[in-house]
Amino acid sequence: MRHKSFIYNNLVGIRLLYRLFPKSIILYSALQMLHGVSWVLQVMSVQYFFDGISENQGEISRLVIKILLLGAAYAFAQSMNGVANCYGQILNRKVTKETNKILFKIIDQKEAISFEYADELDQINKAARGSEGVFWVSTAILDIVFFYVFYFVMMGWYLFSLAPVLSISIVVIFIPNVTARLLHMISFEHLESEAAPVRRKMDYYADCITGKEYYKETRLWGCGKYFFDRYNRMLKKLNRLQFRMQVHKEKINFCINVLTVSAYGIIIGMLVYYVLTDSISVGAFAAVFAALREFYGFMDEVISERLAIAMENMATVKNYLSFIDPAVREESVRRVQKEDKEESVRRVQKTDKEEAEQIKLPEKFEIRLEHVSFAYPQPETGERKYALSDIDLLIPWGQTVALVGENGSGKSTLCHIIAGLYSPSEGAVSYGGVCRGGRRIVSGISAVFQKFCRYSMSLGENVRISDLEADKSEDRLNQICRETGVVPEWAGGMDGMLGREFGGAEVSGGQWQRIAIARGMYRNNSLLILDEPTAAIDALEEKYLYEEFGKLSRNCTSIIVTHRLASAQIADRILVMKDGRIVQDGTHEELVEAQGEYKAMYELQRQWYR
Amino acid sequence: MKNPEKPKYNIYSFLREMTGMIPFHAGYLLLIAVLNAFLPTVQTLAIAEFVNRVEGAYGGAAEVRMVMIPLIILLGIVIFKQMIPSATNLVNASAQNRLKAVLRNRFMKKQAALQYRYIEDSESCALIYRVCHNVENRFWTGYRTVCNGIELVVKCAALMSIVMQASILSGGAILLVSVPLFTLAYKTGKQNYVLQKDAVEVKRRYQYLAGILTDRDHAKERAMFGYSGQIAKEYDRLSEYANRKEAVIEKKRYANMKSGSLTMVVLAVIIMLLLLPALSSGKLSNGLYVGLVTSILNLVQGMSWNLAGIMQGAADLNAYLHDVDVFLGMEEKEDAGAEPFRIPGFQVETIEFRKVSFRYPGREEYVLKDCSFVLQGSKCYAVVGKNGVGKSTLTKLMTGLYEDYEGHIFINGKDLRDYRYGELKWMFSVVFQDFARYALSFRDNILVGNGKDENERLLEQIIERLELDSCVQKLPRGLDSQLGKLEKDGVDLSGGQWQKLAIARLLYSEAPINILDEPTAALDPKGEAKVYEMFRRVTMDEGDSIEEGYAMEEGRAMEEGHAMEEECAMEEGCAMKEGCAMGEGRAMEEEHSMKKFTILITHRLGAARMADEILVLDQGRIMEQGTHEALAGLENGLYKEMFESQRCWYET
Repeated sequence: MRHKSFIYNNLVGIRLLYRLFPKSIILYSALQMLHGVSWVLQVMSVQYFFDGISENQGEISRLVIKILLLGAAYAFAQSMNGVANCYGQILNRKVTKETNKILFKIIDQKEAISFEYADELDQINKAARGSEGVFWVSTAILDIVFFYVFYFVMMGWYLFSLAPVLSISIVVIFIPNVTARLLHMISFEHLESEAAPVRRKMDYYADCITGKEYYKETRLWGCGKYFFDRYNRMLKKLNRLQFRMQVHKEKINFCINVLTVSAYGIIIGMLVYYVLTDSISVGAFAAVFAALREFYGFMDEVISERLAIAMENMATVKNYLSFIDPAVREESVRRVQKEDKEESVRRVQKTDKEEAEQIKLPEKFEIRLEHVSFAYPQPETGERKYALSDIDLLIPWGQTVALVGENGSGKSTLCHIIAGLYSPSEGAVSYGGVCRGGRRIVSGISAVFQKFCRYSMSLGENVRISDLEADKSEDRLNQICRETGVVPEWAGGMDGMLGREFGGAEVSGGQWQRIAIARGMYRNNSLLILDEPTAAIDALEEKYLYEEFGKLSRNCTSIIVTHRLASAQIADRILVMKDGRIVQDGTHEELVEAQGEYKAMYELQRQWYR
Repeated sequence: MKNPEKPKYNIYSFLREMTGMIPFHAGYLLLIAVLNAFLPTVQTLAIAEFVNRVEGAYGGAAEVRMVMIPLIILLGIVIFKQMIPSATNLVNASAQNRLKAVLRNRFMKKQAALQYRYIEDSESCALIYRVCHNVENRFWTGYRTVCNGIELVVKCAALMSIVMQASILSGGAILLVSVPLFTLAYKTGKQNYVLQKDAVEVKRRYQYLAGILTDRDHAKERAMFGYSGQIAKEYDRLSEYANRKEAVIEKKRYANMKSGSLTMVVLAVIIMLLLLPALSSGKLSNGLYVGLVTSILNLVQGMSWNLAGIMQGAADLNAYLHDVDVFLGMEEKEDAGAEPFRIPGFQVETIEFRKVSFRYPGREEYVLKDCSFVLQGSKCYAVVGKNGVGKSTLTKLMTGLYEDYEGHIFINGKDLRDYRYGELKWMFSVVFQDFARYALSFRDNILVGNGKDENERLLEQIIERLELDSCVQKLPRGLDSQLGKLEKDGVDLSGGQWQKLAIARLLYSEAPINILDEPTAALDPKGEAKVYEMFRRVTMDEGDSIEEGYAMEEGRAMEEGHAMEEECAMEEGCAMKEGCAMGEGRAMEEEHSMKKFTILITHRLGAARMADEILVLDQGRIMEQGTHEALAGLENGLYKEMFESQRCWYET
């Protein structure tokens, strides 16, 4: 079964490659074929030369020609070897680039919630890893057909011309050998899975001693020895396991080798017999003897390297191939190809399908949530635990709304729903009367998330990334940076790099947060969502920022999630959340008057400042 | 900075160590290498013998018996070639196991003992990773490269010696031709290595972009800002650029490698041509000639990959050994691995910073500059300040993580540097902002580092006190449940629960000095207030802060059963004292109070207020120190400004 799916996926992969680069793939196959031919020519030239030596005593000039021919054959084989492999490497890069681009497109079409499901995330990650392997895995069959098989057939034919029995017996002898190797390769897999958890534990304990996140604590608590003991226990266990595995492997190897050696012996015996009975020349004997090692070497290579690696990586590649499911694949391939051709007009020509999946929001809109419930996936229990239940909400245009409540009360989830990142499990969300459905909102909403990203790019790009299609005027960028307190000098100018990754400036958490806020502001929006935007900012700066928010949110609708009730006061309206429901709704004054959750929280915080 | 002298750890010390650690394995590998090196020569001679005997018998029927000896030798070679790899694989596995046990322990000990500054330095970290990652493999591969090199040299020399025997003149000529050819091959091999390194930088750039386009961390912003298309375009541009560059490199690399083997082909042709006169004059038998040619041609394919591989391996080994040298030369912290060492009867009287200045290694600006202050052991302190002013640096200095500061830190009048590190470890217990989440059992997470005797009662009290008991009850195996994802049945706690667990670790410890370094960042204000309050009750004398305590409680009047809770808390507070005293054992009898000296580090002013005294850190020194009332009354004070800015929101 496995083999069937292996071959099937391989074919799917080749088809994909062929669609992407038809000419290159044909060229690649042709090169591999020539490569195979060149090896056979090599063997033949050797025989031709050796025969020359035995036959032509004294006539040096003819030998010289034969030597030169032989040299040419070798040079040709070496060049082909280089060219074919080199072309493969280069083509691999080109292919990976395209497969990645398809991957990006498809991931982009996924909803953000997909990344919260462990299974789906795992699939996406595997697919992403698989993209790199598409070329090598898919070309395994191409290589086998065009290089190895071609070589073996040609060699068989050559041997046949020497002595028919020779070529037949070689095939017969190879069959058990090949099967044994294939079986061996497959049987080995389960042993590896036994070692994996032990290795994981060992690595973890090492991390507890030397890993950055544990280092200072392990040192200060003085518990290094404790972890060392555990580490060494795992290490010994792993060593034992691995050695046992190796012994097991070598036992099988030994049997296979006995087979190989006997096959070798039989063939040599036959060769000797033919030489002695004068059926083949001594030259042919020497040439075939010299080529036998290659012959076995190639056989070994094709099975224990090429096929083995292909099979090992098949799982991830399969993931990739099924991830970009056929319908989407056709579409994306077409689009990727088209993009290459029509670089300039691309953006205008969006396909109808894509258009239908997207909605553009009107300039001013109200937000309406009707009976919205939302449950995060719970893979193990199957039981649905609602993060939001039955929320009815109308946010008129231009309102500033604060969301408050304890950790886990559903504030962030509600933000994600309103932002259009998550689709409600039940109920509907509409913007100015436009119902979102499963479509994607492409404009009008911006957000700063709790876990905002830190891009290893320039400061300017870090801000601009929220709206890359906007015109690149410096004024707007500078203005927003000024308003949010982002100072270009942090990075040594707007074009200065940030982040360690590429040797950029390192800025503090608070500074990153300001950059993230600037990013959220930069995007043209009618609705701005700020999910705890000031957690890493200290008291003085926070006050300053909230005053700015007050100003900035005047010409749009804004939703601010905060723990600090004080800052909720800048809002026109405050929503108090508890256990996935909105329990209070009103202005600060109204809520402080009323007995309830808000007042309790407010008083609790207020007493610190009396 | 860079030492121009010869590195201490070089190829000789490497070889010496290898033979010391795994004498048998190392010897075996060398032996096999040498045997392998002589194989082509033996094969040459065997084929020569075989061909000569067959040809000699031409005309008459040759008999098997005549060619028996060369045939057996040829078969012997085949058997050797086929069977030895199995044995070698086993030796490999066993050698790597042994190396793993020895080297990993040794390098990890070194790593655990390093001065802390290396750990926070990304460059050093990268180097440490390069050295320690798969160290056994690096060592073993390095040694194999050496053996392969020896094999190649011996192989060529042995073949040459046959050629020389046949005809000294042509042998000499070959030598003359091959020296420049080999140097060329060597040079190109080296070039490859450099070229490859260049390509990596560009690749990293677009791989980073690929990460942005696919990973989970960026999922939300990707969807929100819809930048995928644009970034993908940038990815396309960069990788196109890199691909073109890499294609050039790749072509060069192959051209280099194959020019090596083409060189070998040329050399082989030259040898064959040069030997022709000897062949025709009968000096060289047909058989030997054929055998020689077979062996030389065999070398051709092997040579290009082999030589390139050895060159690459040698360059890798060289770079690696250099890294190892730097790593082994890194400074160690004395006593770094020591276990906490109790000082009997120790009580905190004062902690003093006297003109302490400090800057992080490699940085120009000082984090602390002439920072002086005194803390009394009888009070509880809070350190406040803006982000990035060096609040956490204080912790790192006090706990001995960094020791190259200027000025002095005194604990009870004794210089911090005069304490043993083990003593400091015992003295302090800290909850860091980024505290560790050990994937151990719930129980072990609290006990770890807190000595061997387990005090079950104290443990239970702490868990109850932190309201972790309901969490423990939900766990599949109670206190012994595995946390984290290391075990199959491991469970993960929420951020707040982990935080409580870290605080439980601190409460369980008998350390006289507690530092909470912004440990509540993951909690909401309600949770934060709870933690601080609870903490205060445990660690401070109820006497002098009891009024405030009630004041705080009033604010929480809405909470159900609050009065009950408080009473319980008080009781537990006492019980805790007993528990702890018991845990500390006989030596601690003279200690009558369980009061712990506590420093809170925070940027949330509300929390700071519950301390007896507040220190305001700014511009590298303590700008203000005093009670909340005193500081809040200070005209133009920094604390006042910060406090007012938050307070004004709560004025009705």
